[in-house]
Amino acid sequence: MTLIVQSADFLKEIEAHSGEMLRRCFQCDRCATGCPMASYMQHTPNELFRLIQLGAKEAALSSNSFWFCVSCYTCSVRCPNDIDIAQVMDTLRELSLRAGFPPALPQARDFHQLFLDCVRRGGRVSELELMARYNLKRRRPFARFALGWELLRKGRLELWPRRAISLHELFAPHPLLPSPSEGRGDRSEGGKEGRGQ
Amino acid sequence: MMRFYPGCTLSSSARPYRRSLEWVWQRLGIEMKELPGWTCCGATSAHALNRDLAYALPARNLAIAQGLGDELVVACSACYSRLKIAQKALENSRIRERVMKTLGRPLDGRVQIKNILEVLSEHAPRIQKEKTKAIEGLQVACYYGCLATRIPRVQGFDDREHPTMMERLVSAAGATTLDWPAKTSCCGASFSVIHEAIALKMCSQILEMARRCGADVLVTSCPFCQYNLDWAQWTRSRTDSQAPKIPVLFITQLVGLALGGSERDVMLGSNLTPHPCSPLPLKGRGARSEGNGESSV
Repeated sequence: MTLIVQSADFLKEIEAHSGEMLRRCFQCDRCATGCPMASYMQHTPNELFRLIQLGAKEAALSSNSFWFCVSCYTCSVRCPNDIDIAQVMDTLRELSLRAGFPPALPQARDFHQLFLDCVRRGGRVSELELMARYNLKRRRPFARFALGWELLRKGRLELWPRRAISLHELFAPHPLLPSPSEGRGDRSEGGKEGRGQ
Repeated sequence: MMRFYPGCTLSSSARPYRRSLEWVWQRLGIEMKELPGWTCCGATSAHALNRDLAYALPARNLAIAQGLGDELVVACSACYSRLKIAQKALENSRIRERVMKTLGRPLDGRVQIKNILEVLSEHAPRIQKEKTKAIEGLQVACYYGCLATRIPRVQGFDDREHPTMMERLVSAAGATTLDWPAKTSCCGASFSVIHEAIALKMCSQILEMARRCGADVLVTSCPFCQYNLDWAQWTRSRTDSQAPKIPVLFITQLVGLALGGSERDVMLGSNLTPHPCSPLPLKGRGARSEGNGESSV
């Protein structure tokens, strides 16, 4: 990969979406030092930011880093340049999926989509429903059965959740959210991602 | 009157949190009413996939709250964080316009979002005065996790790297607090579902640190932290029954016990890990404070 600035378009795109001034990053490494997930990431946050500054769109959007970001905000509150780094990770995840890059953690994408689908339909999330649907989606219907039973026995699962209200109006059509009419629109990708784990 | 935003977990995996905090409020005479028609804050999932939704979901709740009173009390750290982050973002007029268009409601940004720890702290002197059950000698490690205190560009209720509000509450309740270095470490959050091995490792490091510092019990104010630490010990005990265990309580469970609540009142039996990790030894501890501290762990 040639590390010369190709164009500032990508940097501007990320800055516009996240609202964060990535150009301020001067590689102090403080984000990487405090990150609990850094050891799983192909690029630490500062390395990722360098790629973005250089306009290396492909390399940045295909990185696994933002999939392993756990949104603990350690980097965001420590950045001496006041960049909300976790917010940039969200931007990268969203843009990477939109651009069609396969997610490094497809199960994370599935989990988030199912979670939001629960919110859209009922306004609130039932953990029981979410986990059941997640298991089906991941084709492991009996995963965590013992755990579920234990939680139920201890009164920590709600069998008949009270739904507040459906929130369809807040869920504008969005390429990353499952739409009510199409069902799961992302099934075709499932096979090839499965091997990535 | 203060309005309470419970969030989704408090009627499910964090039911003991809800049960115990309602007991504590009643005991202290705090008047609190649930926010009518509240909906999910979007948690991690909304901001993971869709920026606008990550603001619209909390904003919907802020729009309800602003007509009902000045203070919105939040127990769950994730809900608290999302509501605070959204409120901060809504100061930006472009974001606010966009969100108001989606919501179809005005937003005035006046609601004061308060963490449960702030509310309880205001009552610390009363807790100290009115505690009935002696829990002296109990070594408590206060665990805050990430989201309660680390909110970018928002002046939180406590120090980001070294919060102490829970310690003040635990001291008021009569127990001993520990100085330990993992109080704001991350438990792995949703990785306990999507990548168990990573979450187990993160939880184990926190639990191991608490154990080495001599903790009898961990207390937390975050539903995910409580669940993950509980889950991690339960999972480990299935392959290694001898693995050391530490009970993980919600702060309101400990305060409730100190204020004379029964185990049922604070739903103490809801811990995932059976007997060796059960916090039941809490009960007799004050009475035999000279007994050796090792026995319960």
